[in-house]
Amino acid sequence: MPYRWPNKALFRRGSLLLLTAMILVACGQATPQTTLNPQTESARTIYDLSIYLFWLGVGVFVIVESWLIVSIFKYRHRDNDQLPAQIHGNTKVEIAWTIVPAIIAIFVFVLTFSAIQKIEIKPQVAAGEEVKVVVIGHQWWWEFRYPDIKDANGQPLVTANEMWVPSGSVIDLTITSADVIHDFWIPGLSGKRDAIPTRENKIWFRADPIADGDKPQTYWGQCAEYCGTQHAYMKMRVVVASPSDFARWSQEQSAVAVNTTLPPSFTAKGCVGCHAVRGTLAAGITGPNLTHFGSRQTIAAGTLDNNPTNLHAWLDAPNVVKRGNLMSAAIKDDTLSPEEIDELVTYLLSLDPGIDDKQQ
Amino acid sequence: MATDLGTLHHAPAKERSGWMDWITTVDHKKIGIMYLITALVFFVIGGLEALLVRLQLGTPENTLLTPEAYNQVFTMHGTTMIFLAIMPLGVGFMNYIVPLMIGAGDMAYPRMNAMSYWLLLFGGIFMYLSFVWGGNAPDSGWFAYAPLTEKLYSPTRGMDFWVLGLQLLGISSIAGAVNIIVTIIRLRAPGMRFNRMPLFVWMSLITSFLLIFAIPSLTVAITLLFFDRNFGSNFFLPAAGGDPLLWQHLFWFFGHPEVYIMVLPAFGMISEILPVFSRKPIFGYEFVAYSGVAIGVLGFTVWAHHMFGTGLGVIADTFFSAASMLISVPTGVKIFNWLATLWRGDLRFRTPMYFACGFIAMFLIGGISGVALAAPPFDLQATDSYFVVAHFHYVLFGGTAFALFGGTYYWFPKITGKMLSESIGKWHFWLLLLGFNVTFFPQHQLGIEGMPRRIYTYQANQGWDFYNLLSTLGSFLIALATLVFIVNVILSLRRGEPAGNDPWDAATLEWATTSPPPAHNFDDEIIVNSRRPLWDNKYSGENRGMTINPDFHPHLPPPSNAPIIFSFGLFVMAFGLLNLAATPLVGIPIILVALSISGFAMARWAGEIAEDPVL
Repeated sequence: MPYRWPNKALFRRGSLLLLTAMILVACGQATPQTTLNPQTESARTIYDLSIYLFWLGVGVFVIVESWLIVSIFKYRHRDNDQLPAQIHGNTKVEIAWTIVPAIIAIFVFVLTFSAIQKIEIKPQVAAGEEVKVVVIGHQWWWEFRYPDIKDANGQPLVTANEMWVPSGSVIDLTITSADVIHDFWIPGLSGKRDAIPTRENKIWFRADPIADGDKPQTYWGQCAEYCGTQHAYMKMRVVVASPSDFARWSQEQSAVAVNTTLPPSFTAKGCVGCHAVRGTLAAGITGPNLTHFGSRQTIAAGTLDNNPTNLHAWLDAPNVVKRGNLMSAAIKDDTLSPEEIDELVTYLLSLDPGIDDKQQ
Repeated sequence: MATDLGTLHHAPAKERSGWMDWITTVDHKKIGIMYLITALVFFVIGGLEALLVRLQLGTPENTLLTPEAYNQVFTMHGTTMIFLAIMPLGVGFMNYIVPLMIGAGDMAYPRMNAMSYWLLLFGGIFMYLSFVWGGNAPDSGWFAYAPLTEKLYSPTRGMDFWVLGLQLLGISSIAGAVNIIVTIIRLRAPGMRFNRMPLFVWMSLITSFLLIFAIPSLTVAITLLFFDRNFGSNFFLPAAGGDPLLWQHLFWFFGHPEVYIMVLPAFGMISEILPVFSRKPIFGYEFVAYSGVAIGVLGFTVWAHHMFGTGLGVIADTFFSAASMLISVPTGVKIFNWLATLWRGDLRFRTPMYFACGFIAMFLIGGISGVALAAPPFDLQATDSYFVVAHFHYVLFGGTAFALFGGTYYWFPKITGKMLSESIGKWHFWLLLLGFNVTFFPQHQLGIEGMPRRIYTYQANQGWDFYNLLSTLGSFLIALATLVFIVNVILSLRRGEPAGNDPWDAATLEWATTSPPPAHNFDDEIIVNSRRPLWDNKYSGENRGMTINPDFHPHLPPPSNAPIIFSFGLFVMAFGLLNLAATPLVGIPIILVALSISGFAMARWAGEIAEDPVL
């Protein structure tokens, strides 16, 4: 465990309290995607640095704005027609106010440099203590591959828009894109990293421990680099679970689908061309893998909550729910009959291996 | 051809009537006025786009705009404000004021000056025609990251309009910058050494050097993009071995100096306004001037701080972070010198002074958030979020736009001969200050709470509703303030108080001539003896600041239609290039027509130069 001095924690808690108080007074709403609730070492390193920068900024702000306001009131024109002293400058003063900001800048830089080291350099851990995930941005959804977790077919486990990770382990993320540049951002867990096609960017984080038996924690995030029409609805969730919950989840997710009898419309209307359901002939890779669709919290990368009504609306008119998305090129208004939609909704929601993962 | 210089004494330029006078003018003052009016029109258009953005984001899951429309509107808002409003407002003031401040009769290349303006106008019109003919306006954001801009992901012609429009604007900027540099170096009044130049002239000089070094990088980037989109090259297409990060490096090598291109003229204006209304000289003239040079040089070493999210690695992060933080030093020096100029002054709170003080107060906030963003770890949370949107609006709106309004109140009397109303001006200031802060301050908090920029909507469950609504309400206060400003301009033009030559009891040479100045600017040659020629003549004694040489024969070039015809040729050329790849049978003839128009204009232009007197 890294050593921390107690008053630093106090300072941090005090600052957090002040900031959250400000927010709560203003609106009283929960902000699930906030950067102010860091739950990993690296997110906390960033948060700590931010708090220093915040107070330093407040200090500079107060000094300079007071200087301005005092000047404005003290030296405003009064009934006095004498010309003020024509002072052209003072070299000593100039040197002083060149050096002082330079010292502040160096101080900020030293803080920054140590934070860069902490967040960029991944700790060395034994192979078993690290979970690798490959994050692939697509227009407009996220694909997550676990190269070290094999599914029932012996392939790397693949999920979409929801990534589970174990608490306490180093999570080693490789971030890339299938099309344009996206940006992977889960504010509670880590800073951003661009997903750039043909490049593999790395970040890592280690989520704070969750005891076995405690509920998994869900973190919200979304694409932060403008990536076209539906940039706003390229959202994702990361679920941090206790190691045993994660083990159970990965076992369940690796299995074939709960129900391997595809409804006829799944093949007849072309769903199989883009989507995969493990254990069936559906093996498309253009769209999200649907093997355990029923276990997911949202539809269409965070556009809608995952429930029968919403899923019905989505399959009925994907272009109304999420204009411009790729599926709407194949699924038009009349592509699926009401009966087919019902059939698909029932089937897809049945694909739930059962873990109680809709909890926050 | 020999010309008798004696006959040219105060020779009025050949008079043309009405609009022909304006489109053939080569007078830097008329060109400056056209720059300012054009930029103001685009400022209003860009502002209306901003209102649409804020209306859409005022409530969660709003459906006022489709995502496609929203993406075009925010892209055109950024592009318009940067290239068609803020930059040309700065250039417009430089055009009008710099020759007057250095005691010159005109710019070094008056016809090229007209060409720069016409290319700006045509470039702006061309870009906006994309709404009509492009299928869509550009929709990839003002920094247009590849490969989203490639034909594969952006199939409409919007991005081609964007590229070609920017090319026209780029030529305009480079020519304008060369003109300002040569004017400042060659046409200063006798005795006006570099260390006697007004600080606005200093900042104009630095800005112009930044332009000629920065714009070529943009030109290269957009030319490569144009080839990718139209001729099947793969500079930025990763699947074919291209590199999307190449775009980012090229773009930001232009894009960061561009920030200083927009901010340095504002620094110059503030450095003129504060001493005049404090009735003191600027504190630390040399430090204010040289810190501008330092900012300009350092500005070229920090571009990758826009790219921390791309994963540059520890070493590059460290370098670009250090260089970016270093810029806070010369910027801090400027702010301290401005405050020291106020200190022990006799402050006269006329409207320009309100805006100058507002500038310091607001720009400081943008500077503080800028230092924070220079720290890569913090940047990784804050970049591409509304925090960044708040940051650069504090720099470019709270900073530059406040200074530009201050400059407008300051120089309007010189340009028009009429004073702007002080009482309406103060309403303008307070409404703008309030509206600006209500709009943009909450956006810091939105970014910190995880709201990414450039999203067309957000869900109610994110907790972003309140600040977004507040921000939207604020934007209408800004709109109201701008309306008040426009009313002020119209009323003051009609029945403003006469300004007289020197309404502010100022120090620099533009106030030593009539308002508005005659076509040849000064009736006599001015010999400069001090840094504050007009002031020292008034307060230190006759001839202490400047002396007059009445034996003076200003030469004014005749009006010319070559610049507008030449620029129109390039405008037509843009349509040819737009169609070249898809329909060469349309594109090639248009290009040939364009070449003949421009060729004709060039021949005319060259002929006119041949008749200029050799001075």
